[in-house]
Amino acid sequence: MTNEMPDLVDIQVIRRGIKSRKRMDNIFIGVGLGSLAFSLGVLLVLIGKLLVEGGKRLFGQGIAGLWNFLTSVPDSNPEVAGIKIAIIGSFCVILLTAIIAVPLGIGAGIFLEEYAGRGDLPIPFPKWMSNIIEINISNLAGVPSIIYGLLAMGLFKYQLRLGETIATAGLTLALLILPIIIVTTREAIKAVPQALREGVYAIGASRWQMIWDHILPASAGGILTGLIVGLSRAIGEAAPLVTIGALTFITFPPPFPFSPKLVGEGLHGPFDWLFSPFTVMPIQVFDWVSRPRPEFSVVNAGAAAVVLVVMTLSMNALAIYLRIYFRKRVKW
Amino acid sequence: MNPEQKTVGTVLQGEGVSIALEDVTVFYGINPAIQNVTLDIYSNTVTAFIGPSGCGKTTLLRCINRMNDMITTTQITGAIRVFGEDVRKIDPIELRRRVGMVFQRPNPFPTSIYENIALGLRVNGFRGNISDQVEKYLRLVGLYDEVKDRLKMNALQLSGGQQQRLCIARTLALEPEIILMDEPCSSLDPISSIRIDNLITQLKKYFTVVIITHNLQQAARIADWVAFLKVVEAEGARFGVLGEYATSTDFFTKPSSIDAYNYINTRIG
Ligand SMILES: Nc1ncnc2c1ncn2[C@@H]1O[C@H](COP(=O)(O)OP(=O)(O)OP(=O)(O)O)[C@@H](O)[C@H]1O
Ligand SMILES: [Mg+2]
Repeated sequence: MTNEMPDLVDIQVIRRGIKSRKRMDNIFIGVGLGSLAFSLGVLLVLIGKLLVEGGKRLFGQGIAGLWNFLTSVPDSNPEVAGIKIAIIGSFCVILLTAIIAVPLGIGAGIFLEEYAGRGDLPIPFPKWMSNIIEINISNLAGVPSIIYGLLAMGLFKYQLRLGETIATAGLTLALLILPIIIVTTREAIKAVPQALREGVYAIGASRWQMIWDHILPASAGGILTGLIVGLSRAIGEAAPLVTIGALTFITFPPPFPFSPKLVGEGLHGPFDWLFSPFTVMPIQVFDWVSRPRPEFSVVNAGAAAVVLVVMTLSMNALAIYLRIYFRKRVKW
Repeated sequence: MNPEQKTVGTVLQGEGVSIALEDVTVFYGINPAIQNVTLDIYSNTVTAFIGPSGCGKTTLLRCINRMNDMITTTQITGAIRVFGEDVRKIDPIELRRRVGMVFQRPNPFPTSIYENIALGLRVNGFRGNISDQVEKYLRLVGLYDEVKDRLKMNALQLSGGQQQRLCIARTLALEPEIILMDEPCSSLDPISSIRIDNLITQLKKYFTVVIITHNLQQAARIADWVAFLKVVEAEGARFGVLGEYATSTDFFTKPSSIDAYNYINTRIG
C-alpha cells in the first residue's frame, strides 16, 4: 500500500501540499483586498468630494436650506435654484418606465422560460426561436444607451409624434431596461428546482397555476432585484433623454391629474402629465455642470449629484433587502 | 409477457386493466433507457417495479402520468393506455389529476405543511372541508401527531422521512384513481415504513398502486404483482428491459428466469 501510493499517505507530503495551497490562498486574499480597496477608495473619494462641495448647498443653512434646495424650481440665481422639477420629473418618468417595463419584462421572461420551446403551444414556437431571442435579448442589454435615444427620437418623438414629453422618455427608458428585466426574470425562474415544478404538475395543476402559485413566489426575490437594478439604472440615465431633446431649464412641474389649468379654463385630464415637457435629475446635474459659474457647476451640481446618488443607493439597498427577505422565506 | 400469465392475472383479480403498456421504449436523447416493455397493470392491485439501480424503473413510471413530457430530450414510442385511453390523447392535467405520483426524492412545496396538502385540493376545486381532509390524510400517513402543533411551519424544515410522508399524504388527499409511488419508503424508519405498507394495502380497494422499491421484503409484503426489470447490454448501449412479470407469490417462490433468481437471492440471502 505504502509503496504503491506514497504521495497520498506520507504525512510530510500531505502537509507540504496543504502549505503550498494555503500560500496560494494568501496571495489571492492579498490581491482581492487590494482591488477592493482601490475601487472602494475611488468611490469614497468621489462621493466625499461631492459631499464636500454639494454639502455647502445641502447642509450649509441647516434643514431649511436642504428643504429649500429640494423644493425650489430652477433659477438663474444659484442661491435659490433647486431641484424640485427634476425630482418630480424623475419620479414621473420612472413611474411610467416601471408601468411599461415591469409587466412586459416579467411576462416575456416567463414566456421564454416556461412556455417557449415546449411543443405544446397553440402557435408553433420552437426551441431555436427562443434561443435566438435569448441571445438577442442578452445582447440588447449591452447596447449603449444613446442608441436607444436615437431609436426613440425617430420612433416615439417623430413617428408617433409624442414630442419631448414624459411619455417619450418613459417609453425610451422602458425599452432600455426591458432586456435587463427579461434576463433577470429568466435567471430567477431558472433557479427554481425542476422537482418543484414536477411536484406541482403531479397534483394536477395547470401551467398557469404552477407559475402563479409556485414559480413566481419562489423567484420573487430575483425578479424584484432585477426590476430595481433596471429602474435604478433608468433613473441615472441622461444620454438617451438628451438625445430625444429633454429640456434642461423648466420651471413648472407636469400637471397633476384634475388640477386647474394655469392657462385657460377647466381641469387637467388624468393623463395630461404624460404629454408635458420635463427634466430629470441627471439632466439637471448635466445642465448645471456645464455652466460657467462655480456656484452652479460645482456647488449646485455636486448637491444634486449627492441627491441622485442617495436615490439610486436607496433603491439598491431596497433590492438587497428584498433579496435577503425572499431568500429567507424560500429555501431548498 | 406470455398470454397465459395475463389470463391468470385477470382471473385472479377479477378486475379490469388500469394501465396497459405496449412495447414501450424510452430514449433520453440518443441513449435508450428502457426498451420494449409490454405489461398490463390490473385495477385495485399493487404492482411493484423492482430491479437494479439505473434499469429504468423511474423512467417507466414517469411515462404513465406523462411526467417525462417535462424533459424535452425524451422520446417515447409504443402505446401507453390508462383506463383504456392513450395517455397522449388525455389532457395532461386531467391525467395527472387521476394518476397521482409520489417522487423518488421528496419534493414538498416550500410552503407550510398545511398548504402542501391544501394547495392540491384547492387547485382542483375541492368542495369539502379542506382542513378535515388535511387532517385525515396526515393521520393516515402517521404524520399528524408529529406536526399537529406546527401546521404553519415551512414543510422544508421537516426531516427527510417526514417530508416523504407529507408528499404521500399530498398525493393521497387528492384521491386519484391510480397512485404511482417511486420508492416512497426509502428514507423511512421500519415502523413508518410498515405503516405506509399497511396504508397501501388498505387503500387498494379504492386505488390502483404502482410502487417502485428496492426493498424486496416490502415488495413481497404488499405487492400482488411484481415486474422485474433488468439491465441488458446490446450494441454498446445499456438499457432496461422487462425481465419477468408475475404474481408476487410466483415471482418470489419460483422465479422463471435466472436473472430474477439471482436478484432475489443476492438481496435476501
Ligand atoms: N433526465 C434524464 N436525462 C438523461 N438520462 C436520464 C435521465 N433520467 C434518467 N436517465 C437515465 O436513464 C436510465 C434509467 O434511469 P432511471 O432513473 O429510470 O433508473 P431507476 O431504475 O429509477 O434507478 P434507481 O433505482 O437508481 O432510482 C439511467 O441510465 C439514467 O442515467
Ligand atoms: Mg428511480
